[in-house]
Amino acid sequence: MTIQLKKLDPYRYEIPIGSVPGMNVPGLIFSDSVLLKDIQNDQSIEQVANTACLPGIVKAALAMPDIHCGYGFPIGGVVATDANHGAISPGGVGFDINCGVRLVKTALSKQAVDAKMESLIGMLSRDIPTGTGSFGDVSLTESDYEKIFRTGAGWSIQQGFGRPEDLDTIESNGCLEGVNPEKVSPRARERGKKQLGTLGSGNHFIEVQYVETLYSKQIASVFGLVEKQVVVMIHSGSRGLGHQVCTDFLKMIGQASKQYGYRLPDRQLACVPVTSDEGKDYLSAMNCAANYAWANRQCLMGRVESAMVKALDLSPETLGASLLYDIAHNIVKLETHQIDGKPRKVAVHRKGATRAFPAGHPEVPAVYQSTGHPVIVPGDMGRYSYVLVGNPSIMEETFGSSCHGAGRILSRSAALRATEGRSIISELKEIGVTVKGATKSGIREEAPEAYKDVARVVEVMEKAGLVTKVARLRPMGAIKG
Amino acid sequence: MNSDLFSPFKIIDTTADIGLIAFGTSLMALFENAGKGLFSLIADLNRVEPRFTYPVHSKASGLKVQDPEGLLVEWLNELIYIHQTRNVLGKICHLTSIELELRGYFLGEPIDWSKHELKFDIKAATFHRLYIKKTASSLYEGQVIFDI
Repeated sequence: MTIQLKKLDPYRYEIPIGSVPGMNVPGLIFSDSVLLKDIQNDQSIEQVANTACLPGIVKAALAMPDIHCGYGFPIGGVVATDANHGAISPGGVGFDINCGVRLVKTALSKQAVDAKMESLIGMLSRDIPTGTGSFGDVSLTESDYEKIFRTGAGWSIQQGFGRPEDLDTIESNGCLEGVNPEKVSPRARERGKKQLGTLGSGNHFIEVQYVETLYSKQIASVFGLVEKQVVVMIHSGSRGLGHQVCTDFLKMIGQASKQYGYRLPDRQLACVPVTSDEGKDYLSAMNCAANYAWANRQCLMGRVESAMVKALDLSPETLGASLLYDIAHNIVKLETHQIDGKPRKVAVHRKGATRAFPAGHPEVPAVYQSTGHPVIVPGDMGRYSYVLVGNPSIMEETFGSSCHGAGRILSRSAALRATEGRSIISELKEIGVTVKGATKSGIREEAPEAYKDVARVVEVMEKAGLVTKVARLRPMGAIKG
Repeated sequence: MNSDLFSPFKIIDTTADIGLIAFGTSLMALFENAGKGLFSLIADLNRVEPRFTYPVHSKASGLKVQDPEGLLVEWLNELIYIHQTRNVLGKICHLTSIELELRGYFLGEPIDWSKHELKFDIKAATFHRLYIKKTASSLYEGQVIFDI
């Protein structure tokens, strides 16, 4: 299916209502002409149009410049539905509920760590279970689950991972309210029981980076970022538990949606009213899984810090680790936004997109009130990642949402074909990046060329007036799932 | 029974994930081949021995007869669940019933890290681009995309 886009300006392309049957609102893609060529190579434009069919969707079905084909919803999609009259869709969150990133600052300089990267990456890969079938050394009890679902990252802090003040700089303080542990199935619990504190596979990673460029010294100063500073980015989610929650509810909501008269162009878009019993059950289970993910990233951060202390042979005080911020990429949240000049409660589905609330927003942590909270945008292993902030206009245009990464351009199989016979590990080593992975094929699937240039993605966001660049981070080494 | 005249499955690309198209002379044969295809994505089947039997059982939902696609997703998610929670690999799948309940088993063995190198960490079968149809040559053909 070819959909004709209407170019609104160099960074905004509209999908007119009627491009696919049943659209309630237009689609809006933030992109430039170069990125659009990649976007047009897969089904993602059609997927944006399909999400515009969701009952109760408000304003427009949005797509960030890192958009690529997902299931039902595109990855990089943002959809807000009226919380009283609209629908909620597990497909709008995805399988890895609250997959997200956190950025840990250290007091170390690049120069102090450079010579020890082999030992550091080796220690990280030894201490942090990664890859398919990896299990942690913790086996959660039902009592643990109850606490994790209700306290999120706070549970991990109580177990000795990180510091109480970390909660101040995690989205939603690392814990969503409105949980109902009874709605998380025994199967989901079984899948997540031994996975807390494990990285997972696919595109999950822990990357040691340094601050290469500061674009806004004033905001960087508030964030505590300085040139050459070593930071660590952690990308992981809710592991098997979140996947099973999504699987359970897709099945249940797929059947329930028919009784509400909903007919959608893709079964993966199955949805029910936000206010229905099924909708409330999904939201309360999803919140549990999101809290598990925050507990997981908190635990991973603690393990990273311990590994750094050991590998670099220094004290925790000298390491000086502190949490810059932690954001969710796959989540639905009930938020109040200005729609047609009036405040309205909406269910904002962000699937491969992140919050980017600007200065002054009540949900921005006190320490970042003057700047907006950090928006962490990972790139790829070979190039760079970014720290941004949202501009005031982002609330009006995208429900306070930003791109979440570079976005894939090669499928995993295509990446394997493109890297056949090559050692990505050696290639990265030549440019000063030390990488270890659970499997060689996993590293090839995640080769830098499999991704768009995140600089271009960020540039579109910036030129569209939505974000301000704060810092660019360069990779020094990584462990991959 | 599966025919030697056609491939039981073929792997297909998606941007971020992976999928397969399976074939069978009957709906049950299609499901069995889709199961084999799934396990082929997880590990090299040449290195998996069918030493143990792992039962698969899912209670009827009432929609199954009218919804073979939904049933295919359920079957594959059952296999994924057993693989993920019991740390086992499959090689050969058998279905005994898809009418009032989903019943079957697969043959395989526990993951042995010294012998098996795992490929894709398949976490779920999705409803995206899901279909089952009959081909011109009277084969059943089904497509499913997996989350990895």
